[in-house]
Amino acid sequence: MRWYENEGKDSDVVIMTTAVVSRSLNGTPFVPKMKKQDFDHVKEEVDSAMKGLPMERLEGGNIDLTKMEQLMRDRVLMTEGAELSENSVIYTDEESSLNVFVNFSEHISVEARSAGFDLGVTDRAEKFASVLESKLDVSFSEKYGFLNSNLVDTGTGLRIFAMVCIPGICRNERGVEVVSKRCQQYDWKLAAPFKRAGAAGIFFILSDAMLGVSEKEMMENGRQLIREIIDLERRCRLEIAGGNTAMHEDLYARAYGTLKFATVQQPLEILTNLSNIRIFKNYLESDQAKVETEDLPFKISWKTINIITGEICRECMGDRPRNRAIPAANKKRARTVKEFLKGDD
Amino acid sequence: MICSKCGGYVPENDLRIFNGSVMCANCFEEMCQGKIGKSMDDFFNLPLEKKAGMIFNMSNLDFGNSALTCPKCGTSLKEIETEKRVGCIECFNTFGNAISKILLKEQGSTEYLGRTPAKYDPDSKADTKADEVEEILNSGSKAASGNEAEDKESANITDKTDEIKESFYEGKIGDFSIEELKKALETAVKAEDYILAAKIRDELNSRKEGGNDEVV
Repeated sequence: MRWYENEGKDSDVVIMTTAVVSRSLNGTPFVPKMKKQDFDHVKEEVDSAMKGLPMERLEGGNIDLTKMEQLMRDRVLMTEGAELSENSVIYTDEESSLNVFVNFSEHISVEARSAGFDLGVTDRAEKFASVLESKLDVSFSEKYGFLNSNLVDTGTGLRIFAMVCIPGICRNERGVEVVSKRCQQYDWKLAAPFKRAGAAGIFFILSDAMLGVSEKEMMENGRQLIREIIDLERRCRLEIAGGNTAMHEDLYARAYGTLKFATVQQPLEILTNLSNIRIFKNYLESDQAKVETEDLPFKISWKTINIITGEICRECMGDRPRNRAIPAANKKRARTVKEFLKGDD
Repeated sequence: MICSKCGGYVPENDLRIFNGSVMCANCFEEMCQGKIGKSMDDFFNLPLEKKAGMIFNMSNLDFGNSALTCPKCGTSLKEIETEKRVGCIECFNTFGNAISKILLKEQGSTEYLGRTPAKYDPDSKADTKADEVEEILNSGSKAASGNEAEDKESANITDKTDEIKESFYEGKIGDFSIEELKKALETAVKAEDYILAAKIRDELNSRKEGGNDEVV
């Protein structure tokens, strides 16, 4: 079972939660200034530290196409081979929910992810990083904390982010502005993962600072902030769908029909249709729903909605807009969506 | 006397005074030839394209430090300022002030409040700490089942808050003792029902003010 096949908590709003911990080794230049022998040294050190752990080791230059496709489907990688150099190594667990990247933007990046809203990923990534710290001599200073090549990663080295879909808030005037300001109050930020993602209500809510805040405080801020956003989004969805039920019921059915039967589908079109489904599905599941779910001839689960959203976002984040627009890509995408929807049938 | 243009010493018998400013003979001569501007007014009186050219060239000014490089990895200060990346640990010592400024600008603080690293033990490399790691790895799949447990707990809390709410609306809240009210307050906070929590708090406050532990 893959990590995204879990239902996840609050999956109507939060698609996935990820925590990344970055660490660098003492005595070795950082990634921008590394030479072949430095890359090899880091690989050897990490290999010896990871020896015996039940994780699959994938050498950057030696990943076959099938494995590559699986890594992309699991969102471990965004594009086919684009991020992989022959000096890099990926360690991945059975579910691909905990991955260790070696020689990417930092010497070591531990990444834990989970479907829905689950800040337990922070604990997982931090605990795993602690295990590595006990076996490797990582760079640390009392003044700046964990030292990394990227100055924005210097400090705790921990970044938490949640991918959220907030079409309800986006349809309110100044809704995004309000959320963005709220994020700033918590030292977090709101960012669109790719161009025009905001139009479909897809955003990353991510921790900003690694200095001036402890790991625990960062996690607590995130918990409060994301909880507030989830509640606000749900209220917005109910207000929107409850305000004109007939229209939104129709949009819901049309969106499903297009996803299920259209033979050519653009990414933004899919995401907008999924947003329409999200808005009315929340209303259907609420106490104030005046529509009988039995009247609707189809069912779609939050898990399926999130798997499709995640897959389309992965494609948009990794691929160039020009490649995404070619007719063959649109056809392939439509087929993929249909395949995912079969699961709910 | 000190020259107002070059800052050099000017002997009293060789000084020049222009618009109340003391200058040395050299600076005065250069000013007369138009090499030094007389005041800021001269800058504003220049043609637009000349002004733009002067401002554009300011970005190329060398302030002395940009040539500084890290003795270990050769990263220059300019590279760090533009790319926000350092080349090695030594860069933090070499460019300490500049890095502090960048960190303050990027992260809003330079104070580290996080945890210290787990104790490094070079001999532990062979020891895989299998149990500890397996627990971390398995917690991923447990997350889903953990969610179920959490859901059950939250469902219980919701049920409890519903009961408390009913008691409120049916006017039975008077039957609650202070201890029960405190427990109800905790439950409401856990369920994040802050409206109900505020009502319970008001009830508790009113009882304290009234001095009654229990309402008969």
